[in-house]
Amino acid sequence: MNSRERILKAVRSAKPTGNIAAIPAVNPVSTGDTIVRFEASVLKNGGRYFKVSGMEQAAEVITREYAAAHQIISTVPGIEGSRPLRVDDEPHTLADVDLAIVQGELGVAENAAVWLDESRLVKRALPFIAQNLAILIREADIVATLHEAYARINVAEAGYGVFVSAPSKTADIEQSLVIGAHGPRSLSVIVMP
Amino acid sequence: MSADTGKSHAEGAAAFLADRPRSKWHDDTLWFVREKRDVAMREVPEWEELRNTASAIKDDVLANLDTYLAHFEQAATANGVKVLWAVDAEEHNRHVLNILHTHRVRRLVKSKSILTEECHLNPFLEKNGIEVVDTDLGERIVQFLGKPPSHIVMPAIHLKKKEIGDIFHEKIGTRAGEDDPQKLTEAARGHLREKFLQADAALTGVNFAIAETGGFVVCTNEGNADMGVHLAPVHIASMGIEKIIPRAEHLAVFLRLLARSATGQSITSYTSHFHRPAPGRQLYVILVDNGRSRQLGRPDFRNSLKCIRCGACMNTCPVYRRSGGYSYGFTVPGPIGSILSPNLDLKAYSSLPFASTLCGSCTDVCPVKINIHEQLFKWRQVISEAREAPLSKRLMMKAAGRVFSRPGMFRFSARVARVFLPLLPGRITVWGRSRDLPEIPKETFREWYAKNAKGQR
Repeated sequence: MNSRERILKAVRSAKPTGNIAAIPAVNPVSTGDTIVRFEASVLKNGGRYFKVSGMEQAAEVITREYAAAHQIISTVPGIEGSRPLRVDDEPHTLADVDLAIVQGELGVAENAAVWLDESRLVKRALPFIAQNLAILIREADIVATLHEAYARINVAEAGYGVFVSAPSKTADIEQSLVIGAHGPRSLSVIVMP
Repeated sequence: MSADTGKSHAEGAAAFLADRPRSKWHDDTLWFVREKRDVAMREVPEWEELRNTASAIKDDVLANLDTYLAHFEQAATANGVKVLWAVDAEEHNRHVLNILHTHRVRRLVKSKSILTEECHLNPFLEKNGIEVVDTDLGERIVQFLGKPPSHIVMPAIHLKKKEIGDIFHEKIGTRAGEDDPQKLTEAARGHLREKFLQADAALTGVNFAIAETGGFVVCTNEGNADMGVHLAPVHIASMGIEKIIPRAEHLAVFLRLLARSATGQSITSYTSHFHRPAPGRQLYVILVDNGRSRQLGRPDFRNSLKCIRCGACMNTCPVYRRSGGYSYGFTVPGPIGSILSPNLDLKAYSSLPFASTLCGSCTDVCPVKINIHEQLFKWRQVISEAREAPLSKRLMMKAAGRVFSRPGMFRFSARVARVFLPLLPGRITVWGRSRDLPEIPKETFREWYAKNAKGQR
């Protein structure tokens, strides 16, 4: 018998038998305006929050906020980076990127999590290896809780997807919060109509 | 006696408590995290509903674990993931080494995986010539010191920044005496970025694996798991078989509970969902039993497998906070570790279920409603029956049992004890050594009642 069969057999004979109660549904209590909550969550998590009127203003905000950035990659149509990104680029070549600009699919008000998936990221490493990250999100794509978020996204559609809710951070030294552990030192969330 | 340290919990605790100010600081630090958890919990009006649902999902998982594992394997394989099975720690480690050999890996970066600590993977790989770098900041710190994590979420919570500064000075050349967390973290960032860029493979743990889709989720704040796996050409994910959940929608329930319970955050900075390897790359999942199916077969203890490793029971535990993670001598310290460890080795970990006041705070904060303190009490009974408790404890319990079952003798000994107990030097009694004697009342309750109950009926 191989290990797979041994484990499955052991589990089968050990697992509880009899009726298992049905899984109760969770009914989230909605509290306040979704966009207002989203903004509060972004700020609480250490992100920067911007509400803009459209793509043009989004580009202005980015230029202003990241004036010192030279190596810029944008995977958002309508916002220019300083260099292109191709699917077959080695991720290691992104090590010098100062700023990555990506499109979020869905935002969650209760915790500022924004869903990014592989199809729009082009390279999975991009939002982690860049020194700074800017995420654009449409107001209509912001939901109240994670329950609504998972009802709307198909997690298995792309090979990889991630909820980003904050800049990279750690509190491993005496519980002192430090922003910029391995990944982005800043996160800007830009909400568009 | 712990298998890892050769010491009982009381001995380990005494060592930590020898430095009183540090124990107090540790206590306060963990309590601060517990309070952050309370604030985050109160932000969710349906918190208790979430706990009930999470517990019910895990009940369903335990009752159908074989089916879910088979589903997961099938779906993951269809996604291009290679799934391996490991009966025990040794087989897990061999799988990892085989994969590393297949891809000619010399340098491995790891993100936090309590399972690989449980399997003692690092020393095994190092013996076989692999460079292993833990990339979670706290884990890197304890790795520099040649120690395991002292807490499953905050691996270096027992260390002061000055000690971290000293080890960084020695290992990565920070300025002598530098103890500013911002500067130390920045130095670690530079050091680890180099390791990420050089790595040939990355290993991560798994927070949740989805039976329906064959994918899995990894949560970090630092982004170290993603930095590792997106750069290295090979990703190995090691998971205990109990990490399975039925459907993706259930992630909402667990993710809402996990970070709030762990650190008081609403969610971790990064919650990464892996379903397929990136084009041209390799993705392996190792499903590890290592005693879990045995625990599943123990009706009194199987609920311990619901654990999502948030660490809330440690942060709230009055014993853990004062005695430190190393006093337990087991990979998972604190209340939950004390009900998991006896399953692996009853004799070696026989002191751990006694390292509790049975106050029940662990049970109260557990996001998946594990009856932790009840299981601690159950293990005590199992251990006493198996005669694994120290002789002194067994004799004392027997004597106490005799006294409590005879009212006359109880009354007599209560009077005697009130007079003589305070006179006993603490060193004579085993209990006195690690406990403070409360103030002895002038009269017994019975005497007080006899005096005061007159005319009260």
